[in-house]
Amino acid sequence: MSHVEIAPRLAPYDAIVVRYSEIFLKGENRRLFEDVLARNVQRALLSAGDTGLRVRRHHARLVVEPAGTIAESRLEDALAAVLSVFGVSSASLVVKVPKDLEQIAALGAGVLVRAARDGKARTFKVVGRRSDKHFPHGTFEINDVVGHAARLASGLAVDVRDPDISLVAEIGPELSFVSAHSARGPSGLPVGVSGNVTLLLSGGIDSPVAGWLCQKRGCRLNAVYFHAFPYTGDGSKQKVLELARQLGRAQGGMRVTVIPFAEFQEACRAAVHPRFLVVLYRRAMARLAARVAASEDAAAIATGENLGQVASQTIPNLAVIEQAIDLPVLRPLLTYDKNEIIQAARRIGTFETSILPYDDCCSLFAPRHPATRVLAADVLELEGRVREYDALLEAAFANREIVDLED
Amino acid sequence: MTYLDHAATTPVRPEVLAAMLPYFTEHFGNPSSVHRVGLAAAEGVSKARRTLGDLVGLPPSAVVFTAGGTEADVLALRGIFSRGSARPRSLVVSAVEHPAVLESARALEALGVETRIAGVDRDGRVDPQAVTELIDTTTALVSVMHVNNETGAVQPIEDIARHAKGKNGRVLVHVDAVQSFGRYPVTFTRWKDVDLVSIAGHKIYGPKGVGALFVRPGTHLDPLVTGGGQEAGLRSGTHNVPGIVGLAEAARLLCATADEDLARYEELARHFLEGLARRVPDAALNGAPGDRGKRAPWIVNVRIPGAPSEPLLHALEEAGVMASAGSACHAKDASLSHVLAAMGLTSASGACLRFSFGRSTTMEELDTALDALAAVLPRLRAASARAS
Repeated sequence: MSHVEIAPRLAPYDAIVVRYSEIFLKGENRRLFEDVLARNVQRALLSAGDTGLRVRRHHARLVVEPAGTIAESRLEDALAAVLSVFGVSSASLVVKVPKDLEQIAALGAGVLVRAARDGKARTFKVVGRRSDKHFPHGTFEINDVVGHAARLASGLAVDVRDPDISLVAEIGPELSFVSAHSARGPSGLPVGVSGNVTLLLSGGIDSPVAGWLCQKRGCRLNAVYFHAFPYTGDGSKQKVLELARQLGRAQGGMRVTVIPFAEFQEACRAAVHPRFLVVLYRRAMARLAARVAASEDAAAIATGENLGQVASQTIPNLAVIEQAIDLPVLRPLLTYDKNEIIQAARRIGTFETSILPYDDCCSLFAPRHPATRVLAADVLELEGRVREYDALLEAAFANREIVDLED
Repeated sequence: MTYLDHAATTPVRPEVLAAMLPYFTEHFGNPSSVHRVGLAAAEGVSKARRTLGDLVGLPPSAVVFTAGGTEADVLALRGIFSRGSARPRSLVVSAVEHPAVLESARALEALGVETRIAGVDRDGRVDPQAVTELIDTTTALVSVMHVNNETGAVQPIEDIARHAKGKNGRVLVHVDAVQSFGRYPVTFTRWKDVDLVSIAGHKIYGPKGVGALFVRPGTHLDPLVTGGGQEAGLRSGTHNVPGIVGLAEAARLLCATADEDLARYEELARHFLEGLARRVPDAALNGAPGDRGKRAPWIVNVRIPGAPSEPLLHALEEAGVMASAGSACHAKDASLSHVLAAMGLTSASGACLRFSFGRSTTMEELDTALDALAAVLPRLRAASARAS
């Protein structure tokens, strides 16, 4: 086809193409992972309020499209929902095109003009793909014709090496579209493919971020919260439930197990020097969390623990804490700096809740100078001094409250 | 449930709710409309204005409806000072005012208004002489609350106002009567030298979100909320008709029984303090003892050595007893309230708990609360002792 003048045509977006990356690595599990991702995307769309969109698989991508036609603003809302789903590496708003090169060029020029409207882009290239072998024009010709029309319409220069915008023109047997838009998703793995994990959730800044990172690697969370009533009020519990609700959005809700912890803490205070309290508390929390994990079919527990953020968080102490249980302890924040954790909390939206003014750890039970190296042999002896240690943990577990948060 | 937190808020009386309900549906009109639907609503507002004016001894036009006690306080302070001035100006407040006054005073500093703060004695009371000493020719306003929300301390309003005007005849006097209105007499006939008084609906068994500022005729204020010019231009915005009707009805009902209520509160306070002394011998009252007129008997603020405030409150809550540490507005601060600090207390003094009684409070409820306190105290004192 010669370079006839093809005027750009502006059309509303009418579908979303969703890409994922690491799932390719998963070999035999790939199909399963794709199913989970498609389901999670569908759920995210539903909880964003959209029931008129369907999700289908399309050549190692997902396509989100309306059953009929919908307002573009609704598609933009759907895009935001899609971009919150773990496993999504990027997503694009696209304009569907008929299998006619001239119209493809006109619509392609239109989406490029639209994408370049903010004036920031200077260059583009066309990425033509043809998987429908019945389409009479080859990739080279697609690039040539679409590129010519798009260049004239947009005024952008062509740069095939490092363009500001890639204008995709794809002609497939089931779906043909043009797109000059792409937005990044969180990447990672779809929630659920890595199994269940029990998160120790407090009202602080760290543990919600730790939970989010586990979700990002495909873990489905349930949470356990240790409630030191009356030393902490129910305001703290409400705050933890709000944090759990926020994390639950990525997985259609969350179960939170609230375990009363004050009586155990009081018994520890009465029995051992304050410097050993943190390690004793955390070993007991690990034990109780492991029991929750067993009933929630979780293969690991996760905590917001960090190396050296507070004096008690040393490698010997972390070691002696995890020796209390057989399950692996996931510590996604182990090597983060505090400001990195705060940045992450702001990004995922839990920071504002975490800093609400309810003490999640009553200062009565937080010693000023904790031991930095509690030995395994010593800790057993210390626990032996706590009157009714096993019975207290048993009672705490028996008195747990289970809260199922809906999405 | 034993609710002993009436200084934080009170339930709406059924009679008050019944008076309000028609104004949500039947008489839903905008009082500013000229048609009869609007007029029916306007009549409700007018009647409320007359009722409140009569109760405090001012003409109806002296009543300015606001969205609550805080807004009434802020309107009084900013209304006096918001107009810029080249001359030096000052404001005198007590150290134990509500944050609505103290924070407004702080904000006025940006307009060049100097805030002078009169301290209080160990009982939380202001000395009229101390206020007078802070007044000079630059002083435009004195703002002192009638009954303190945290301790119940009663300020000698008549003396303060009289001395203030004796020192500088142009000084205006504002009184936050949010806690006292409907319990103690609050009238401009009695308070001859007072110019502005704030009240709030939800402290007197009326609805939340409505209050009033009484403005003695001849007192000039600038508005805080500008717009359609309602409330003689002092408070624009479509009237909260049901709220205003509820405020007036609540005020009318409560003022009618103020004398007998007060006698009951005195009995309740005596019973409570005697019961407390028996069960917790080292507990102490924050504020003046039962002397008539120095401490409002419906607010009892006690100090319990060797116990942490917030856990104690939570433990009482678990036993079904709702009380407060200081005022609910900043009960979440770990630090001592500015009121108790001004009285010379420190956080080492122990837990400071406020029990505030209402019309429904009974002796049995007080016994329940005291029994609960005595029951939970040993556990918390033990935890507190080991921590130190």
